[in-house]
Amino acid sequence: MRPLRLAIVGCGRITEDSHMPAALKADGIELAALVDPDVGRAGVLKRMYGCSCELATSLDAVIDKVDGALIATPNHTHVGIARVALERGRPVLIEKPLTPRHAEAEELCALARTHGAFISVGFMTRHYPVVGLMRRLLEQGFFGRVTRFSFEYGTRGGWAPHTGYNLNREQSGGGVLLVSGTHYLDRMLFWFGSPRAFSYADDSHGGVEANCKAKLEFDGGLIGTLFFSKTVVLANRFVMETERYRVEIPWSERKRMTLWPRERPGVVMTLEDSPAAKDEDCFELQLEEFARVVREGGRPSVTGEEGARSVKLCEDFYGARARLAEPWVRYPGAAAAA
Amino acid sequence: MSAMIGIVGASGFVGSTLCERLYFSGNRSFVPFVHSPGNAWRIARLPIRLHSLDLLNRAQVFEAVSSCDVIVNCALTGDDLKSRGLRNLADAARAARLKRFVHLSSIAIYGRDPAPGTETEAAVPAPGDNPYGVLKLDQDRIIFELHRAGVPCFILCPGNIGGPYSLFMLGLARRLAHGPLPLVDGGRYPSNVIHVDNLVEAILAAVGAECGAGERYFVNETRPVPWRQVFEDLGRLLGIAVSYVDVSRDDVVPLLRSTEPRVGVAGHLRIAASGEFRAALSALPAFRALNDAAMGLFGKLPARYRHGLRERLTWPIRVTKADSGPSLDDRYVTVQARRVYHSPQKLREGLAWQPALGYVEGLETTAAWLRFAQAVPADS
Repeated sequence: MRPLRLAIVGCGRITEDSHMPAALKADGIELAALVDPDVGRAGVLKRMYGCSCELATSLDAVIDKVDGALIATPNHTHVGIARVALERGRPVLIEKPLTPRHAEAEELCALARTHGAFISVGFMTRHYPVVGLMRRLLEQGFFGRVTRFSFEYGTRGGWAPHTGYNLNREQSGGGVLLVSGTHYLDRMLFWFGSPRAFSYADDSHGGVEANCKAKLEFDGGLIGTLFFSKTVVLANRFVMETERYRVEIPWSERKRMTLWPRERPGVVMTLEDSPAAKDEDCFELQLEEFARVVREGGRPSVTGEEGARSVKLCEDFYGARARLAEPWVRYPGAAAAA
Repeated sequence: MSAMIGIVGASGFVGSTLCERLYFSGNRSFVPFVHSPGNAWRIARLPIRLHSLDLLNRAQVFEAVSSCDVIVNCALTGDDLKSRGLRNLADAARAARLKRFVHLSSIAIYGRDPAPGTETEAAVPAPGDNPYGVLKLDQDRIIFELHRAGVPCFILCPGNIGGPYSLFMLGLARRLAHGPLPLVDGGRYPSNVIHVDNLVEAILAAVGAECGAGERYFVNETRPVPWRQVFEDLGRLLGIAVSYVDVSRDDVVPLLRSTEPRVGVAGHLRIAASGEFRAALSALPAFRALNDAAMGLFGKLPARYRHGLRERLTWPIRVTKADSGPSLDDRYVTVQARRVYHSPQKLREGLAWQPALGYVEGLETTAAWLRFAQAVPADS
């Protein structure tokens, strides 16, 4: 069986730290090309990992020599690069968010359908076994009626891409909601579907937001809250209140969820799939799935349409944005500026 | 047109507050220099351009400083490498003939237990064995040299910095919620915690000062606030039932000295003979062979010699009881032992500094942020 010849477009930090090692390890993948406008940077990664792949400054130069492309570039460039691949019928795995704007995401999905290709979106945490387990248990009604949930994720700063694009609204499309929050939005949509109403607030003063909060209402009376931060460390977990349990999944937990049964005070339960899933690299799983879908057909875990759905929700949030209260700010002129 | 202020370390706690203060008051004549975009989220909320600056890159520093009239140095002080960065910054400031250079130092230059008499800046700094104080004092010397070379310099010495985004106050809130806090001599010594907004006003006073360059200035609340009051007031604002264990300052003072334990010759031998050390070195194939040979020889020694060597190198085995009481070796305990209030009188009189917030209002803003940051669990 011939492996899928892959081009990785974008040789920044996420490629250096995660996609390169995953591509070199993954079954069914042959790293055929590294693409970056700064070909020197691509060369550094090639030497760092001792590969024999081709180097190029644009995907056009190598698209006819590869079977698919992984796009890990600043968000605003996703659409242009993905077009190059999709118009030639090549599937793409695109880092999240799919695009900063929903119209662009829709355009890419249509392009994929027209040319018989597909889009997979790099929400790698979807490959955490606990994410699939939660979805199945929700579908089976295991928890009883779900009344509330909350997602919290906060760090003081953190991820710093080489280009610094994530602090530039034009390039990233947004702030912490897009950078950190979309992982949780994707899970939320996967588990609970789209909300029927929401309110949203963030602390952007014209730049990217560093903190945001949202409250969501779903059919059936379910209420969800979101809090994402790049200035404060939060509990970094998902918490769900249901008729039968309080359920918790820490952000970094891949396999297990913890349950506190309402009828058994003082008892704590841990749930995971049986047999227990192997502790595998999700970037690698994502690429192996990409190769499998090319080879055998089917659909990836996160399709372009699903990626577009979370972009739409972000866009709706930003469109309905309120100013997050900062009652600690007492600078002269701050109220007027706000 | 107002002077162009370059803010070095703009993504840090003080630098970010200064950027916000300038931006919200309508001043756009500042350039934020940041080391890494990963930590610059707070100021990236503003529609301003961030400039990347590596203080160790001399050419980059010279170019950055050449576009400014004033430099405010809020860069983090961590090690000697940072002093090299400051040297680059000072050289660039001299070459650019800056109008002002404002540098953040610390009351740590007077050590962790300054003697009475250090209430004013007239006292000679003596950091003792406090490495942070030693480093800050070395950096002050670079700044005084720069002043003598013709760039008017101001050195500001705050204590612990409070206010919104303060990690010191975040830690304090969590410590108060955690359980009984050892209270040193009834919590009567001055806290020397300055609200970051008031520190920023001090920076701006220095930037705009007509005279008073080449001097050091303490930045502190306008009256001494004892620790117990800070604990009580913060606890009340956050809904924490604060509790204490009374301790004497005499019990805490030994902990103010450098805690680096001395390891003698016997200690070094013990480490060298330990399994952990030999296992780590065995990653080198040559050492592994050497170690195996040594172990072989050791095994051939008569039992009484083997036991004797083991006894000398590994005994006594120290087993201690778990200490059930709160530890005194805690930042929020040792800090209470400082008896001196470092007065900001010189700053008020010399640079016409006016604090933005009084103590009460300042603590309210801090508490408002701490609640947002979920510093204290709802059920505490």
